[in-house]
Amino acid sequence: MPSLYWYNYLVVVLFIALGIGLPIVAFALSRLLRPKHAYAEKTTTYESGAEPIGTSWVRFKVKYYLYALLFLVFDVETLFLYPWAVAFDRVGTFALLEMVIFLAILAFGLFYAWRKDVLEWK
Amino acid sequence: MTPSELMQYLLFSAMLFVLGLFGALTRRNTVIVLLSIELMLNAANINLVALSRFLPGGAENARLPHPSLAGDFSATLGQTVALFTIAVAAAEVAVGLAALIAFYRLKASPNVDEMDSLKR
Amino acid sequence: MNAIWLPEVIVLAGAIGTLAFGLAARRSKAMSDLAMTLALITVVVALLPTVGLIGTVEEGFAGAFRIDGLTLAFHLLILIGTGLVLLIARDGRSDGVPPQYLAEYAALLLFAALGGMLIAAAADLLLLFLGLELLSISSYVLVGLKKTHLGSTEAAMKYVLTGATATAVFAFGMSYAIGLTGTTDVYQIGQTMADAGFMARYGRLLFVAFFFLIVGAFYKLASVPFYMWAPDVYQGAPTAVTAFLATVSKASGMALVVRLFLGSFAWVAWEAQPNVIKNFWSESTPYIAALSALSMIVGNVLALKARDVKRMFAYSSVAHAGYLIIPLAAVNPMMIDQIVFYLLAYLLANVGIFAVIDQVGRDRGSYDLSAFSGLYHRAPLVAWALLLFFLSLAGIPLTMGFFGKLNILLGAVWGGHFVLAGLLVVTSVISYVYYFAVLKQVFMRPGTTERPLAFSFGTATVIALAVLGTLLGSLFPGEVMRTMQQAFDAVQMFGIYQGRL
Repeated sequence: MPSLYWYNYLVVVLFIALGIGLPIVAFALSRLLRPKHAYAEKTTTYESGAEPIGTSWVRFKVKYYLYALLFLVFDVETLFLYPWAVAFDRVGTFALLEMVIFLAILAFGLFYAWRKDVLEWK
Repeated sequence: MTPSELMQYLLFSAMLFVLGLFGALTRRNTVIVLLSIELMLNAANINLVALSRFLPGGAENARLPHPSLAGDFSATLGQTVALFTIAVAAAEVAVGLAALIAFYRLKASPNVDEMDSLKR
Repeated sequence: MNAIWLPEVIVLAGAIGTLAFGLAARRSKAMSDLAMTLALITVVVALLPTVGLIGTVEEGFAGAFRIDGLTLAFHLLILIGTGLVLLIARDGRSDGVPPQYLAEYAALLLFAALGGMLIAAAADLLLLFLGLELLSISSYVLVGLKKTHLGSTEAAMKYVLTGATATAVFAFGMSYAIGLTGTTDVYQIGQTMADAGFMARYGRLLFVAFFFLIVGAFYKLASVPFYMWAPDVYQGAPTAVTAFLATVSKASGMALVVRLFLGSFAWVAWEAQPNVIKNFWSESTPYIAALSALSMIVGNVLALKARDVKRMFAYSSVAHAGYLIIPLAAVNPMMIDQIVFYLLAYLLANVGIFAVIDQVGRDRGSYDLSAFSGLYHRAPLVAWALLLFFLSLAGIPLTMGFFGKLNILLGAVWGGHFVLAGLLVVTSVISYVYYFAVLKQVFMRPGTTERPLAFSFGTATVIALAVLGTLLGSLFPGEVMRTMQQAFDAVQMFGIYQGRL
């Protein structure tokens, strides 16, 4: 059905138009309505926040990398879950059992990281 | 997919592999070396997916040890292996970065050519 | 159906159990010492079903997991090696490894051994790859266990970078082999390649695949030209881990090469041009023979100038990798038996020597050659044991290592590789020089101290067991070889060619 096919694209186009149009309208409206008296504080980056000190190129705490590593490993393991979920109705109980073992080992990994205080923010 | 299209994929992955190998052997910064190794592994993934797309069930025909596994399994064999390669690559990079952090704490340098304390 | 997967499952459960035990006992020092013992018990328990499986030829998991003579022989090698290494590690824990990581130390050794066992049992390229990775990744961490020691972390870093590159090369080769043949089964790959016309069409790419796979596998063996990591890694790693890399890791690499080369590639024959039949084995042996020859020469020559004993043994292990590859180049009916017998002799002697190195190194705080001076006066019995190990490694007649080399030599001559046979003899003679440099320190040089060197229980047990094994192999080489051939019939590996099982 070509008409339905093109209708799907129409929705996408509509969303793109809305996504671009809404901010433009919002900014234009606020520019029209707001009072205009500029002074020095008004033009700073963080009008009511703390002034930034130094450059944005600073060293990050090494802890961030540990979180990233942990996330990476567990994140990638989920990629075995998707094929299993897609083929679930055909692979049967044996695969379910295998997946339970797989997840149990993974859960032990997470438990291990937790008990080793890797998840503590120090 | 026609043979010439397959050849494009194979050439692309071969180039990716060579680029990765070149980077892994010549770069000083350890993180970039690890990135290059990722390139090499991804070249393998592209090979797997392209070949299994072009030749479902192999270059000749499906020859699986157990016929019950035939069918759509053989067409996705390459993708399945690629999933394992991705997981392995992640584990490897995780260990690599962890080793780098340990090294950096002692020497404050991420450069490969400054790993020279072991001699004779 | 037998529980063919039982040894692996026991080792896996033991590894996870050791980690869990380490968590539970992390507050108490005395308890966490038990982690190593737990791992040791696991290895012993895993040995029982392995021995019980002897004689079984069976496949599981849709043909991916295969128990046959080759598998069981390597399982025993790996488990015995890991057990002995655990004994060394148990006593050598003061060797710079932070005490809070003892449970991880034990568990990672078990995980690495599990990787090796999976390699030995895999008849599937994907499982081979995963086993190789389990072994490699565990070894990377093991090498860097001395977190506060620069040499150890540096060695780990080098091992990760070179090892990951080798893995990527292996994966790239694997992608061609799997993609073109459409199967991951090692034997099916061989059969598909043997089809009429297959090699004529895809032969070039399959040669590329073979080349890349062999690079990845030979990296684990530390043969030339993929040996550069060995000296640094062996030197930086904790001594027990060095012993593990030199023995268990090398045995696993050998299992990988044997299964891959003999399972899929070696026997494939095809018609290159009309009426010209070529086969993979005769096409590839020149290269394998060259790698073997170079390994023997480079390893033995570089070992001559090494002053650090662990570094010396890294080069020596390169040379031994060269000896071990000879049977692959010189294909003959007994090749797998030669490899396994030689690996056993090499494993026993090497583990014994590393036990001594560990104890002496911890006592003197140095792994320099001079640390061994006067050892004869400090511990006479151990010095004699060391003499036996060195004689066996060097291949002096009537030791186990000699019979291992003799078997390989005869196989090389049988296969028509006279150059390799000659090189084996010549380079063995070169190796006398550096082996005797150590012995000279032990027996002839006066030490700086005459204080008796006490050997802890575990180290002494390792030395005693290694001496026992080496003596048995030296006195009854024929019987050992015959028993091995009966228990681990290598022909079972090729059962595929008579209808798979």
